[in-house]
Amino acid sequence: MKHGQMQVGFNWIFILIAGAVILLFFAGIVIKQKDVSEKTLSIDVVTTLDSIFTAAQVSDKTTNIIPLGGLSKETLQFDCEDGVSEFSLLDQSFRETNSIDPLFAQAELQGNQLLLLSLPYNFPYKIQNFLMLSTPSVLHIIVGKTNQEFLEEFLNQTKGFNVKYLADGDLEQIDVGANNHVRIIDLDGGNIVSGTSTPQSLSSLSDHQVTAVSFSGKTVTHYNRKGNTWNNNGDTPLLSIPGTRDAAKYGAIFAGNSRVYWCNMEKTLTRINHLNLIYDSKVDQMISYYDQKGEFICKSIVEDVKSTMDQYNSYVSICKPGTCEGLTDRAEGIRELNTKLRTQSCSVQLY
Amino acid sequence: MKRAQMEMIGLVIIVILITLGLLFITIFAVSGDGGRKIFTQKGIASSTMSALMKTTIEDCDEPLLSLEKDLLDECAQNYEFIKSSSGYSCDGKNSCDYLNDKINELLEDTLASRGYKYQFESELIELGSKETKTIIGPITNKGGCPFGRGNREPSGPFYLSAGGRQVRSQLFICG
Amino acid sequence: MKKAQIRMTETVAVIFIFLILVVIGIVFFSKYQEGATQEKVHEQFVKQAQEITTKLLYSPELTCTRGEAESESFCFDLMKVHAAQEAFKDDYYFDIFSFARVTVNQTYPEKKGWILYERKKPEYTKVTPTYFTLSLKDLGAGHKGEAAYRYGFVKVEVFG
Repeated sequence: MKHGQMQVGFNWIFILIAGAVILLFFAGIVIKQKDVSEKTLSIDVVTTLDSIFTAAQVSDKTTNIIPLGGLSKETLQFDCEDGVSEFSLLDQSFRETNSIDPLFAQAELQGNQLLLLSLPYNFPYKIQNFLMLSTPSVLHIIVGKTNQEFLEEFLNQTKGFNVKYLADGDLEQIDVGANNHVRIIDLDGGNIVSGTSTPQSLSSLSDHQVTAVSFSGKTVTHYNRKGNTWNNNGDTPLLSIPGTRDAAKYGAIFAGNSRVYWCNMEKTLTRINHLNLIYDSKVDQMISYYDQKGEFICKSIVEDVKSTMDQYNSYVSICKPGTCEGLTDRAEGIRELNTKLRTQSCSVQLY
Repeated sequence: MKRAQMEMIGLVIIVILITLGLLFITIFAVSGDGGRKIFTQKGIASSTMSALMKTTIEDCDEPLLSLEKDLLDECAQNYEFIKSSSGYSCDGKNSCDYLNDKINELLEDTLASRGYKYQFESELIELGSKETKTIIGPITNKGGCPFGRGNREPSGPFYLSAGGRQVRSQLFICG
Repeated sequence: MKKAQIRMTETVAVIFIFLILVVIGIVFFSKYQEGATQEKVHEQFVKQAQEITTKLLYSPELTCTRGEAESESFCFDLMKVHAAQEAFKDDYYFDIFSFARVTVNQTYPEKKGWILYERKKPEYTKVTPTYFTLSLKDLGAGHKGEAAYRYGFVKVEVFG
């Protein structure tokens, strides 16, 4: 009996040890694979989104709605610093960077759909497309009465986005509902003032979920809430010319803050710098062409274009918040001269 | 002993079966689709049609005519009596004959040389009638793209109004 | 004792066989992963080629303009093409086009070609060409100073 009792005992000890080792081995594999899977998912999501953004960006004036499905619980992070934007999944290390294409979005976006709006930025000729991102859980509230033309265009262009217009400008009427972010858009420039109280209706949201943007002349001011007051987080110039669809204004509306907005505008300024090399060469070719044809009126207009473009190039290279005076005028000047080429029936125009 | 030997054989058979199973799973899981077209044929069909229709022709008596707006338009308007009409003369041919040859040449340069199968046709549609008449083509390569052939991507129809009639031109590329 | 020894041997043998099965499983799994990774690398390469071609076709540095209206699709302005040969040498365009060679070829009326951009990847193992037919707008060369449209194609070769 004793012999048998010992044998049974040893058997059980042996089973326990062997079982524990095997279990730990497989548990280790599972945990490692889970980690690898999460990283792979993050990479897949971010690279797929990058492709979607590239495709959306090349299509002018389009709105795309991307259902996020299983990703609706994930938070997308967007940032831009020193002319390089990056986006990633929250708390994941893999990020996609882009130093070329302007992408305007809040710092964090979460929702069941991703809303993309692509608009061409003309200054005065097409520079590149701006891509604006949002989700249905970001509520955009527009206040202001003076700029009715822009208001109608904006409401029309952003069908599908969560946008409301408060005609009487009473911000206490805002119903946050299930939204996780409220962005107030002040088209007049007097409704949001730094240091004044933020609406009580937004008290259910935390500070980083309440932001505003205000337009006053050619200046854009972004605000965030600090405690219960509006905090000015920076003034930036609005680089746009009248008579064209104001993609720069759209960018300011969707950008999370002034740093992100200006960072993306810097990308555009860099692009203008490079694009102007092409247009400078085209101007020289046009002068030769009109000289050859003996069309001296057209040649004279193109020579004016050349000198305006030289000034335009200088202003582009020094443009920073506070030093962009004159840039918009030069862009407008080029547009007027190009129109003059058309009205004078000059066969070759700049754009 | 005999029983133990049988158990050992059983174990070995199980190992062999599992190994073979994993081998087959790995082979099928890893083998992917070999050739993959970089771009949709539809995109190439659209771009080719767009470029083709805009082309400025330099081979005619009249200077610098547009393939679609001038030559195709004249071919469509005067199709029934093109051989005797005194319209455009390009390389000694009337507009319809010239277009047949020229479009064939241009498509060969850009599509046939890349191995694409394609089919181009311009049809004349009388207003108020459903009947169509092919005035250019069908210009094909490698058997063309008859209806029902797999992966048949159209460029999208290009319409031209020609003196009370309509011309519909389309290019199909098939894989 | 003999019976116990046989039993122990039997148990050890079973565990040994089990471990062999696990090792075989791991070997096959890693082979599968390797194949899947290669597939993914190829997919990324194809995607990159597609993106580079898309960016090129819509690039404001090359596309034909119509004043304030939308650009003409599948059309390159020849004046811009001539300028781009020099301009695209800047490192800025590496961030857009990466390791690639971009050639524009005119097939009608005369055969001509321009290499707009070239950056070869050191020790590249594959080159994938993509072709797109397009119009080449020659401003002022048409009838009464209008534009003449030449016929040609763009070839984008991505190095992988």
